[in-house]
Amino acid sequence: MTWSRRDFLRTGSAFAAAGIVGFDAALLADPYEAARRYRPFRPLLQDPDVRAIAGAALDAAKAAGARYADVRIASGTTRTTIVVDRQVSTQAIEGQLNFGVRVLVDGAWGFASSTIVTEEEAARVAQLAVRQSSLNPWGKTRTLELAPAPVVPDGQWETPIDLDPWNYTIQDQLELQLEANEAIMQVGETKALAGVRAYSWFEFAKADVVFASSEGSYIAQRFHNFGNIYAADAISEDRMLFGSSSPESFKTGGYGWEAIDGVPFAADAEQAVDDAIMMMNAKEPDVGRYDLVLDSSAVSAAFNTTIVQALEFDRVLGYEMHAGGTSYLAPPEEVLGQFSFNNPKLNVRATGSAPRAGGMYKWDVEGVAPADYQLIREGVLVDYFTTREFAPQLEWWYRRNGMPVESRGTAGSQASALIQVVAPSIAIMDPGEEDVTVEEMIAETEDGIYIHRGGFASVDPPMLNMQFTGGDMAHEIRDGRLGEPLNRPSFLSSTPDFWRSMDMIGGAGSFAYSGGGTFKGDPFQQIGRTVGAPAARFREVNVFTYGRR
Amino acid sequence: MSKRTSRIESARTDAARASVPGANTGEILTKDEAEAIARKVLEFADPAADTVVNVQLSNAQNTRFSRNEITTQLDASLGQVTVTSMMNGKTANGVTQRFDDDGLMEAVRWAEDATKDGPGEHGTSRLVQPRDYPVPPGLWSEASRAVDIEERIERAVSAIERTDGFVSAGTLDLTVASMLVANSAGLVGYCRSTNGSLSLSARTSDNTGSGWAGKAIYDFDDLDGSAIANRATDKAERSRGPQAIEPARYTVILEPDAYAQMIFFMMQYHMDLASAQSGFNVWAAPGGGTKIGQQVFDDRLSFVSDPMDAAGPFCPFNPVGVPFNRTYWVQDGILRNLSYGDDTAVERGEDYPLANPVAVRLQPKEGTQLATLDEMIATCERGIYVTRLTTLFADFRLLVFTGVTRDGTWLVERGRITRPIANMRYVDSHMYFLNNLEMIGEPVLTAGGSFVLPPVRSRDFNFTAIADAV
Repeated sequence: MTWSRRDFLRTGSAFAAAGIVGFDAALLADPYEAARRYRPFRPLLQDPDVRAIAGAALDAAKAAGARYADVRIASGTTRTTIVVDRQVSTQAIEGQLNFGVRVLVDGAWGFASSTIVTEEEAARVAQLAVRQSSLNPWGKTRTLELAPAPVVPDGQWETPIDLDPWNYTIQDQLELQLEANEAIMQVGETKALAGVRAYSWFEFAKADVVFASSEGSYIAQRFHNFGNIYAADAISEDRMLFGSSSPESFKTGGYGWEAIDGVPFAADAEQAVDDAIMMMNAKEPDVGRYDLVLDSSAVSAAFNTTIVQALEFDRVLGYEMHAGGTSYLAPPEEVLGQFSFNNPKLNVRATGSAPRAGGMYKWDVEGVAPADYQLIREGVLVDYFTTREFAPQLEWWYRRNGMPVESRGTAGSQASALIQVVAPSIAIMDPGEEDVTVEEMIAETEDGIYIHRGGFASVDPPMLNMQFTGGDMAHEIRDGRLGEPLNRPSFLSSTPDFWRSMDMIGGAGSFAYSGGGTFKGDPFQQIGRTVGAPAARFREVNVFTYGRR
Repeated sequence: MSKRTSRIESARTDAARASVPGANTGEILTKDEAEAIARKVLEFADPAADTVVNVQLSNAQNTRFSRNEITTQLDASLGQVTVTSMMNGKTANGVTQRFDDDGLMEAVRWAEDATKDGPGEHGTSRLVQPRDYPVPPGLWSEASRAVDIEERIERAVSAIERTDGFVSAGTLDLTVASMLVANSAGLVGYCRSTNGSLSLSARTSDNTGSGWAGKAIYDFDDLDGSAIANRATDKAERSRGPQAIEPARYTVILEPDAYAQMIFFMMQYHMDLASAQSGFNVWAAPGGGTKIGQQVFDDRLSFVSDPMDAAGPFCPFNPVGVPFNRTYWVQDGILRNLSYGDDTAVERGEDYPLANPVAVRLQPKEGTQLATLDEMIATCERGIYVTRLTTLFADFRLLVFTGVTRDGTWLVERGRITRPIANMRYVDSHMYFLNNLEMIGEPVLTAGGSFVLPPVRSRDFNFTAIADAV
């Protein structure tokens, strides 16, 4: 045993000597005095200690034989409050402080992470990562050359928000949240029902992440995010029927305090409860083939699960065969430039920047800025989401088409203590050039269903066969007009058939961003990313229902 | 010297040449070490508050492989202290990953500040009084703790080598963890565990056959990499060239891993008494009340959580020290218990809440004739054998799921497996198929851990569409 966590824990004095980030050696014997004087954790962005710790990790990795190393150090705080009806069920503040070192000696990545953020531990963990990478008995058979990337010696960025939520207290947060729930409860109590439940989960997260690489990049980013749930749930008197609705004023993503301050929760509560009750009483759709009009949020849900995730190059190669799944957009040499959805209306691109997008970053977890680029052009596959590890495998395609052989800046991870994987940046399905509205699509639909406010898709492992279930709302369309509400219509399709059947696409006015993301890896990672899409119409889709009674 | 051993030897030499120091993995906190941290927190805490502290340190090792090659090797060390403060009728948590005084104080302050002058009503939360917890048998293995990188790789390699001629991907995980809970009433509980698993998918080179196998272990010595690989490749070989059959209701033979995710979703999201009473989970009775006392599954089945379960032991207390006692959620098919918080415990005159460990055994009634998977096949006139299902909620409230079969699905006719069939979509639930049981097998620990489930044969499983991709 070399330097040991055990020794570290035994001797209080070790804390000062080890140079714990943010540690104040003046905090002394009297715990109450110390507690009164405690100061919040120092931000990482300009912290010289952090630079030293990152340097210690990289130096140790290089000295131990790594030909490449990167380190991510994260310090974050998350404030969570959950209120069910009028009762506070959870209030918590959670601090994160950890780091992960990734190294390449031979052909396998070595990765190690820890929650003790000191120079000594950084060196230990880096050496451990090198051992992980060098002990691969097959390492030499797998060649792994990283695509070149610009060195960013002093990068800084922060998610743009209006009001810093950390200038407000957990009590301020609860006050607004209790008001929001109260609004739903008061409306609910005026309706004759077995029950209306108000459920809210507000979570502000702030994370400072420093990335440093053996190539000389040093990047500090501060991420803000606001989540998660605010809903009115209604249950019928016999308690067999259920409806749920989120007030439209409720936003999640790259927001600060402005997400909840001055928002008309009370004004929206009545509508939310009425919507929940309406959906609770909604009838089942008749099984059959229908033309479907999907609003932006429903298109986004289908888009995220059946196209965006299928464009992740590690899935394409089979690296996720055992975990997140494979992709129908494979093998690359047979599908790039050749696979077509046979629909020129389908254009998909990625961007690094979108207003209020959740999961937005200026540099990815490999220190690469996300590219603005096209992935599907007029229905034809032209590129993937890649990382520095995978981009060189597409060199043949990139060279042929005069495209750069470099990562598209779409590496991600759920936390700095987890290894980098391919994760989309912000994926966008382009709206149509003409400004077609949802209303116009409905007006031109004879016998159809309008699915709005989200939904979710279940796909088979290669994402080739999909079953989509409507989200919070759906309505019949009869002769160009909205009819009765419908309870969660579902439809079945193959992914290519579904996108080929898209015959009308909404204009910029119907375009919006929604929550998306990817689920993969082992250990499993869930990486949230906003996706954007317009509304659209799909012809002759097989609709069915589960039935509820 | 075998080919594999020589590779490992040479890798060791390479590592030595790179003069990498022998960094240790698998470290956790002893009871004394964790208790010292907990005592500090209790000293920092306001004496007027009831305070609970939970100290965890875990180390997770992982070897991941794809396309028959190791792609990543991980070692993650995670320390976390959670402080729960109860004061002024309010409860709040402060969580830190720092074990130094400043970090611990910060967590105490976060929790205590949140209990002061805050708006809103909270439920009752009392401290668990000092008590002893049992030590679950087999939850800790010294052999697992002592596993070093070389041994872990060797075990993974022993699996990968058996997949020559197939395309394989999989993961070997090993986690060593310690948890201590202490509170200001003097309670101290300590638990340590070793959990691991190896699971693997294999495909035939023509990409038409796919097989999966996996196993969870507590003791690393129980992990037989080549046996797991053999099961996966055997399934891949036998599922080559599948043909579609008409989707319909069929008798199914389900391996335990096929429906473990459904049991997880039920235990995770649907076992709360208050939600059932107000109508928001699957155990709400039509018209009011809950289904407690009603027959909800086949009367040969019980759902029992027991930290002392020899096949699937777990830590005997929750993060604030509420003991997990042996609990029948369902006994002989009748719903008996749902979990509840301290408000209900106070009403009932009990000392602490009924906590849900999200770990359960599905136990056949004594005297039930248990069948092996082979016997289930041999006595099946016509049915479908399922290795694995993907599982997503189709209806959260009614606990109905959808997904597809994968990694080995066969048609069974007149007592034998006759041919591989194309994957199919299903819409169904254990709420149904555990009421249509024909045969039950011996419960085993599933590959994801936590659930000890029997293979079952059941009527009328609802296949709704063909999903013929591999």
